[in-house]
Amino acid sequence: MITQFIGDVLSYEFLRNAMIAAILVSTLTGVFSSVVVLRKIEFIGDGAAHATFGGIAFGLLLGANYIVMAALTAVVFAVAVSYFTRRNRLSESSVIGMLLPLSMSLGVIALSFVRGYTPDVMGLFFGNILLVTAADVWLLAGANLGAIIFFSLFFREILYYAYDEKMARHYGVPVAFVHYGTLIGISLSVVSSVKIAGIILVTAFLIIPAVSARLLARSLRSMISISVVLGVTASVLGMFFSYVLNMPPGPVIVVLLFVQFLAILSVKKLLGSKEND
Amino acid sequence: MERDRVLQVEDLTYKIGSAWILRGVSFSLSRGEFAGIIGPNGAGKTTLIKAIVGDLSDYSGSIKVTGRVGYLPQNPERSRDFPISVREVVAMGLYKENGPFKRFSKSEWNTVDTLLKTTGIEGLGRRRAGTLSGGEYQRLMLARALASNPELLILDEPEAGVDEMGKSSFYRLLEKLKNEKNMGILMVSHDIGMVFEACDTIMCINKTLHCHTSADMISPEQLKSAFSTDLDLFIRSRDHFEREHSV
Repeated sequence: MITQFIGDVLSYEFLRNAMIAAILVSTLTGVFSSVVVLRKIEFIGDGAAHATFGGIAFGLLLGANYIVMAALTAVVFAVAVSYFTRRNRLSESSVIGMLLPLSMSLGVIALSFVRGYTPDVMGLFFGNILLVTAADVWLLAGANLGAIIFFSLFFREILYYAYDEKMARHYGVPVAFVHYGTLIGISLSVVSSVKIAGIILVTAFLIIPAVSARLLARSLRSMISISVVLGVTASVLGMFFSYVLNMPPGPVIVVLLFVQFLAILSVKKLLGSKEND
Repeated sequence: MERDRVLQVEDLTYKIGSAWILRGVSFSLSRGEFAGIIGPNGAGKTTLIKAIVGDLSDYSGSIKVTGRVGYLPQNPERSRDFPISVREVVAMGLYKENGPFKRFSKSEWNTVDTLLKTTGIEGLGRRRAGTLSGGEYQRLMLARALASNPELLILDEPEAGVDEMGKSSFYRLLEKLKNEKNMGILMVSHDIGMVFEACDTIMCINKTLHCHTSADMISPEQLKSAFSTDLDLFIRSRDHFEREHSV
């Protein structure tokens, strides 16, 4: 079964693209998920993912590249949330709670005006492996490269921003730059992952690996590495199980990510209680 | 004396809407001086500290700081499982000197280790910061504040979350640092007994500066004007302190 799966991955372009894309989504979201979880901005990632629906719908309505429109919407959403929160002293969850349904509603309204072919909305929500093209793989590779450069150049700054934003600012860390850089990175991660994971499930990629990794990591570097390893493992296994059991890969990967979390939590609790005995 | 001055605050005034938070506060602090700021809740103590460390800008009056400032904030950020080591937290205090796009050098890491030793938490450098006890964590925050080798050290309620034993040894450490490094120390605290014990000068604040004098020269009238309704509590604390020290 495994040999046949590997053979098919090597033979069929769509399966190959899907496999590479799944791995690249895991590495990209694995890198950003650590900051999302440590800074407790999970809701922004979720909101940006949902906001992409509005961008995609308007892209279809205007005949523009809908991935570019989705990227723009996600970035504008994340920056707008941060701007309203910081400048107007509104709570972050209130602003997201307003902007998220607004973007979804505008998306539905825009879709109702689209004449002729409209893409499979369920595919947008839950991901569709058949939608992945070579261009998407290149987009993900580019996003990964951007993330690696950002984290390599500003690792210390990201660490201090995530640990204590107020004191990081006091010590001269360019907090605003790191904050908005992170938000843009999260938004672009979301957009480049939508075809694999879908608008709804991409949040799982942005949260679960880092939550699991946090249980084990002693440093931010190790947390990011563990997140990436967990994400890639879940993606490869998820692709295999979805192939064997004929199930959609996005949801299977998400279930495996959660199983990993439960397993790590259980082992940690078990070891903890033994240490206490 | 003028050249030893590390902080000069002149006519500092801050308002939110029509409410006065601070009004016409003036004082100075010199090297080797340990000043305690006391006052009731909402007196403007933390606002004063924020203005001095640069976290507040829309005030009137002037604040002149000579040299570097080390700052230990009120309720510093703390998460038990945040993956950051004790050494990395202390190194944060060196960021301004080191600057962006760089890594900390070997000598900077040596400075970090020396600071851990100075503050009595050597051997904990590799530990996750959040796993330290309340007293150890406060010393970690102090080590970070000392990283830039400041001439002025500012502490905002450093006793929060620390037990009595921890508080005493923390204040002894501050006293030692003041003498060894000849720095000026400005501390906001609700622990009035300890302030009287540790500080050379006391400032009573309640929107305005009601007194600024040596610890044994404060009059009940000055305290009454600063503390109003909290006066009874204050006097009891002070009496308790005096009784303990007259034995």
